Amino acid sequence: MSYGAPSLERVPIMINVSLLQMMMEARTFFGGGATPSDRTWPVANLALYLPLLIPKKINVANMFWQNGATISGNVCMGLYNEAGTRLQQTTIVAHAGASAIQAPSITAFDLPRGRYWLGIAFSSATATIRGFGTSAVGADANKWCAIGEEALGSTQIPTTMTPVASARNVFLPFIGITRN
Amino acid sequence: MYAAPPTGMPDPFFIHTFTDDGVGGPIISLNAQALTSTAWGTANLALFIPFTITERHTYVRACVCNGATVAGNFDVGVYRGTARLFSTGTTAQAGVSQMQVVTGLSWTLDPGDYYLALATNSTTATFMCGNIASGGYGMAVTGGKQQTTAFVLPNPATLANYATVFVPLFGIFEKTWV
Repeated sequence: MSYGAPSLERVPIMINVSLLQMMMEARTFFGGGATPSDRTWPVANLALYLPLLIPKKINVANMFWQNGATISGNVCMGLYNEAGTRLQQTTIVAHAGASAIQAPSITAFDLPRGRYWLGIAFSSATATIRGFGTSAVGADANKWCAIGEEALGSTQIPTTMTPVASARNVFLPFIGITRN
Repeated sequence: MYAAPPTGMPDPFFIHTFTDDGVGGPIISLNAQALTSTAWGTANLALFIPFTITERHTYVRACVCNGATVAGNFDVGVYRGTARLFSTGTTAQAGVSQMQVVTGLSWTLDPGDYYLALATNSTTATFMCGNIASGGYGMAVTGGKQQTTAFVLPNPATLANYATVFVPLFGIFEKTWV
């Protein structure tokens, strides 16, 4: 058996968009610690892809987002590897629970150290999600945070993501994962 | 030769001066301020901002964040020490208050410490910048370097201590979709 040095890297129980593991620069570009507020999903069946950096293997318990006050349509969330291949997803679920964290049931899975993307799509352009919508960088805050987007034909997030440059200047949804 | 697998936080897809691998975030945190459109002030000045990567990556886009006035030409590059490894070459600044992207790059970097470099030949060209209190303070915070009369980006560079009161937002990205 080979010796493996212990990893001292800490991984928070909950990783969300305000933490280093997703986008440290968000603290700068999206209002510098501003409180998330209700944001209307920009376009029906639009997927957003946000970077996720994992410093050591974890066991993922949930993928989640925080709803806004207006509930509408369906939601699907997934996890992609660095190359853009979908590894895990939630089922397509009804958007439910005003202003609540929504975390569809999934089977826990191991996630090795690496670079990933979290994808999320809403079917409704009136649904709201908590998020950040002010920018300290001017236009193109999403691009500077490496956020991509993709127009889908449905709410089902694809097996392979094909993002384009985000046309959302400032739209950072409050999403993330939790670990066991 | 055996190389131990990388550990710890992976490198971000987008290396720019305000990522954790750059220095802008701490500057903003220290001063609790937003980025502002800032004139370069000194034609042909080049700024060098350090960053570190732990794995091999190939970058295909170089990006700058233009301010409210565009003018002249800029040059973005990557240095290892004083050696210029890559640069975009002179590029007309275009598009106010938005990200300007230089495409067609294939810059492969091995793990190590580097400088992101930006120079412009215009005094009036503006970029979105984090502003810092004084030149000396800036050097202490950024670990950056600068060179006057450095357009286009020279090889090798002659690095002097950072004495500029702002840090521009610019960087390099691994993906084609910005």
